[in-house]
Amino acid sequence: MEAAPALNRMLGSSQREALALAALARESAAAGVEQRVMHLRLSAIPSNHNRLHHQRLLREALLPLLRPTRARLYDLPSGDLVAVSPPPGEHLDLVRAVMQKLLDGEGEGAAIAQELRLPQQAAALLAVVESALGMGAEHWPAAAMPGGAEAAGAQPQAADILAAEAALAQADLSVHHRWQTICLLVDGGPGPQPLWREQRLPAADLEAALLPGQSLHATPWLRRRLRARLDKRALAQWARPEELRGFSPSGLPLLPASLGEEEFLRLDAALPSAMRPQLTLGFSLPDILADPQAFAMAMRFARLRGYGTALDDLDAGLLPMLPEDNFGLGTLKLRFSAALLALDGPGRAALEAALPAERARVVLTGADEPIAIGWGWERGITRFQGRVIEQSLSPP
Amino acid sequence: MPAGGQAAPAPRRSAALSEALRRCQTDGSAGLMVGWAEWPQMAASLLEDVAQATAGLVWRPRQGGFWLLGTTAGAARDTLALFESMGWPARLLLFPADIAVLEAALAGDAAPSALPAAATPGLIGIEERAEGMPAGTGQSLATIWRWQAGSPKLLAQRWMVEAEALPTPPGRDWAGHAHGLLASRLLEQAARLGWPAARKHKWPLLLDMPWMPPPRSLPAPPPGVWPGGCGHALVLPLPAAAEAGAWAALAAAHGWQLAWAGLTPALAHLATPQRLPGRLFFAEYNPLVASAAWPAPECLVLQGGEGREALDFAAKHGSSLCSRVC
Repeated sequence: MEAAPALNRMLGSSQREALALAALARESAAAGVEQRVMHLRLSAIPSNHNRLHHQRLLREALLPLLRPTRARLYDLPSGDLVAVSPPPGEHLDLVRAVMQKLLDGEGEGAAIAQELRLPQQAAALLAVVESALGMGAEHWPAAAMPGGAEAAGAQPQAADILAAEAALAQADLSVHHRWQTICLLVDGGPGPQPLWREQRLPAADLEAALLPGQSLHATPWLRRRLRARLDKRALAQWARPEELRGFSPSGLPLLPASLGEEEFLRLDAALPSAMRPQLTLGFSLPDILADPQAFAMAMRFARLRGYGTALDDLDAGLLPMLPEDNFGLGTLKLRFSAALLALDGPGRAALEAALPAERARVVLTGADEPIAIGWGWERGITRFQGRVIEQSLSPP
Repeated sequence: MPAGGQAAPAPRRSAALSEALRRCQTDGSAGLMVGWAEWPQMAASLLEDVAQATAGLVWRPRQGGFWLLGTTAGAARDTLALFESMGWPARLLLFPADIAVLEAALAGDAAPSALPAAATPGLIGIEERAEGMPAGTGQSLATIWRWQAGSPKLLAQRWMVEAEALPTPPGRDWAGHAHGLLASRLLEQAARLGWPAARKHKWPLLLDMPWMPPPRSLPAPPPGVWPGGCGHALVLPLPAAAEAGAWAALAAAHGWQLAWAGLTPALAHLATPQRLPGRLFFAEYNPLVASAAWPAPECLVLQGGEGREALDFAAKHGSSLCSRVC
């Protein structure tokens, strides 16, 4: 992938190399091109052999073996090296032998030099890249993992939710609001251009504060109930005159049924009609499916009043499940995850076929690592939301 | 009047309402009567907008509904179209011709009425109530069948939740929570191999599931394998579709297939194995079901409607029906 100036500013050289290696893995898988890969896990060398001068010695020993060959060497952010060579690539065997010799005393050489084959093990190589970029399994949303890790804590009961609702009734949540900016970031273009900002409440933190020692993980209906109350509190704040005075293009994730609540209707009445299109109401897929009637009603009202609408926080793997019109929602907010890098050919093709042709409708959220930007650009996506964007907008 | 109810005093007519009535009697003003709206506050808000713009008034009688009075005929017609687009039935009123309709409503509002007795079921302790329900309550066994060559062909049985056994105050989430509590009981019974006594062993069993994240393990289905056909299946509420892949893998690992409950005409496109991993898709029958485009009607199972229309639709499209038997 050709790194563009805007991305280059955000990436270190080893991150760029990791991106290039991920692209090579995907290309190899797509084209069925065979490659031998030697992953030198220098980061796993025992600490007594992993001082800076040890690393320099290892590299000095290894690089001459690779330079005269057709092998390509990638220096990953984790400190690991990955050598990729077309077969037969005997020099990779030599590299392994050198590693074993250098680390003989530790008996670690074989484990530290691991061989992979492309295209068969492209997913494993992508996992190496993800791990090097700090996007290992811990970055997966727990619920998306088969047999998902269940959060610790007792299940709350309806009475607990009622008590939490009462506690929330008069709470000022303004200190908890978190804003993120959705930016236009074009490959080869200037830096991120803010389009609108979006307000979210840190739901997990608030749940933990309201229901200490309990977890709503296994009771999604109760979680929705609490979220409905959080929506009402957030909306009450939005309708304040001082908030409306400084109104700028914004996004607000809501339950569809929240549009029928007094708090939303007060905001609706207070917003001048010219401003309504600047407010994008986001609905998530589980919320749409949990209450399709409310969603239908919310969409009719949103259209009637001219609000923007978005399908919020969609796991990209679910995109092929959606209707072509994405339920009539204007913007598609697709959540980036490491799993996207490991999609096989058919999975990738299905996802790309399901993306709206008009890519300006797509926002890639969860862009917490530069690799997400690269993944988006490869698919023509130029709108992003996430930590990378926030960092690039922050004053140095 | 319900037992324990008491007569409510008739409300005094406000000056604004009296003035609106006078205008309706004497001027050529117009109005709108909205008997019911799914989201009453939204309906009221929309009517208030029109009233403010046209010097009209929104009246909310005690019997329910909304009246827009003293507006212009054009505004009333536009508002009627708007309400129809929202799916809320409304009636255009052109005064003075329709004054009798308004006067009858005002007279009804002035008459003493009974306050409903407070009978909202409580939420506190609902979990204990669900747990303490006698075995067999809050659940039933239904038959899944379809017409084949003019005769009913039985396909499977469904061990399903009877949500009305655990009443809740209005609200989708409370109803969902109650369903979840009852479905969790079924799952616990299944884990103890406590299958319903009336189960027929020659048919697959479908098991209603709560909406929850995919757990680490599942109980094994009852014995019996039906190669190539509908097998034992977990009936998942539709919002679980956001984790469809994980559910499919988990179910398959434990010998279950998947089925989905809660399909509506607006979500008809999902009711196909091409979109969701499953062979059966349950939808409550209503006339809109018949007018929707179902991508795989042979996978559709209609429930809650065994009238002529549902039977005809099922026979015509090869859909199945879900009928309670006990």
